[in-house]
Parts: sequence; C-alpha cells; structure tokens
Amino acid sequence: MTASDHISGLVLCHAGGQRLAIPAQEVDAFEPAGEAARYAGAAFESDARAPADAKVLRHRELTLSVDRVEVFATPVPRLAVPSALSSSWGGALVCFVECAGELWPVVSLERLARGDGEAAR
Amino acid sequence: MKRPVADAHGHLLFACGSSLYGVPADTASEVVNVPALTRVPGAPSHLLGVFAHRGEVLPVVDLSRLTGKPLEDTARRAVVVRTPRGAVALTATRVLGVSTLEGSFDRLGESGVHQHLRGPAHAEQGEVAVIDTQTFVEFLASAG
Repeated sequence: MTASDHISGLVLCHAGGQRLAIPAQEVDAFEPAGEAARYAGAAFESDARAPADAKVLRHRELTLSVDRVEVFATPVPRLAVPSALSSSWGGALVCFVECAGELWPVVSLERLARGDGEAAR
Repeated sequence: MKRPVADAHGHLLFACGSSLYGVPADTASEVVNVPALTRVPGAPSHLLGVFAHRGEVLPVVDLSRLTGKPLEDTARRAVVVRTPRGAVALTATRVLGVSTLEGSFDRLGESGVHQHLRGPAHAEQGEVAVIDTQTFVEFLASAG
C-alpha cells in the first residue's frame, strides 16, 4: 500500500449530530463563530442551524462552521467514494476514512470553494 | 401463446414495502443486514447513508423513497448489487430468492428512476419491476 493510499492530518468535525473530516492542510484558519459562515450541518439537514459556540474553519474565502472539532494526526487508509456519491455536495467528497471505529466522509474545502454554486444546492 | 422467459439465469427478487423488485442474479452479490449508517453531506434523501463492508464503502439506497412510496419503518436488510460502474446496497423488507421471470420488459417510465425499471414482469410471488442495474447505478451517480 503506497503513501497515497493513506491520508494523514485530518480535522474531525461534528455538525448537527453528523460528522465529516477535512484535510488539515486545507484549513487556513480557525475563527470565532460568525453569521456569514455556512453551517456544515445544513448539508445533512436543510433546517439545521449552527450553535452559538460554533467553530469556523476558513479556506481562502470559504468559511464553514461546525459544532466541534478535533485533530487526528494518525495516517489512515483512504476508502474510495462510491460512484453513486461522486456528485455529493458538488463533488467535494474526496474519500472516506475509518477513525476510532467510525466511518468519516472526508470533504475538501478546496473543492467546496471551487464549486460553491453547486455545493450550495 | 406462451409469454417469453426473460432471463434463463434468473433474477433475485426482493420486496421494498409492497413493491416487488428483481435484479439480475449475476449482479446480486450478497444480502446484508443494514448496520448503523454514516450520513453523507449533500446526499439526496434516497441515499440513507454508507457503511464500510469488507474494505469498501457501500451506499445504501432506499428504493421506496426513489419511487415515491416511502416506508414507515426503515428496512433492515439490503441487496448488494455490483456493476462495472460500482456497487450499491438496495434496501429490502423481504428477500424472496432467485426466480425466472416472464412478461413485459419495457421501461416503466420516461423520467427519473422509472427509466431504469423494466416490466411489469411476473413471478410466482406477483408483479415485479426489474431493475436495469447497469443504468440504475449510472443514474444514481448523476442524481447524487
């Protein structure tokens, strides 16, 4: 198994009872909660609202808020995205990983930022 | 006049609610109990979630939601279908086994998921909508 079969440095995020992971190198900054940030939980449930103490991740001009975060540094194997999910969230879903016994969708903030119009649907 | 036999190799039949479906037996990989699922951001409502199974991630698709006949309770089993385009797990309330089918194999509709359903075909258990698994998986990829 090659190095590219693994991914290391993930920010594990919880949003609205759901979970997603973001490559740490794509997080430019963590910021205080703000109304302008898109809430990640809304990608799971359209009526989800960010809590008052939401954490905001920034990548270039894109901001994404989540309920809480933790950093996971251990390299883990990538699991491919099934073809049925290839268009999910505007194509921002890059792979899955298993961390601490749970399956996490890994979302690229870079792809989310590029396809912002599509991902907003 | 005798109605034509659809496929000498048979179809795996299963129920999703009150509807019967068939998939070509050679595309039906296994029947699994649906475990706790991981939700996927931005996924449509018919994609209930995913689970890790033997080193791969399988999406679980609720046919009842796709066809506009949502179930009151979530199905606890799923038929895993494999095509060159990918694999999906289709929720099933009952799995009925492999049968040969007779009848019509025309498209059941001109839009949405119904373009990928054929029939109505007939089995001992009743009227069956046959899933064209190749085009169905392509459809899911475009609808996701």
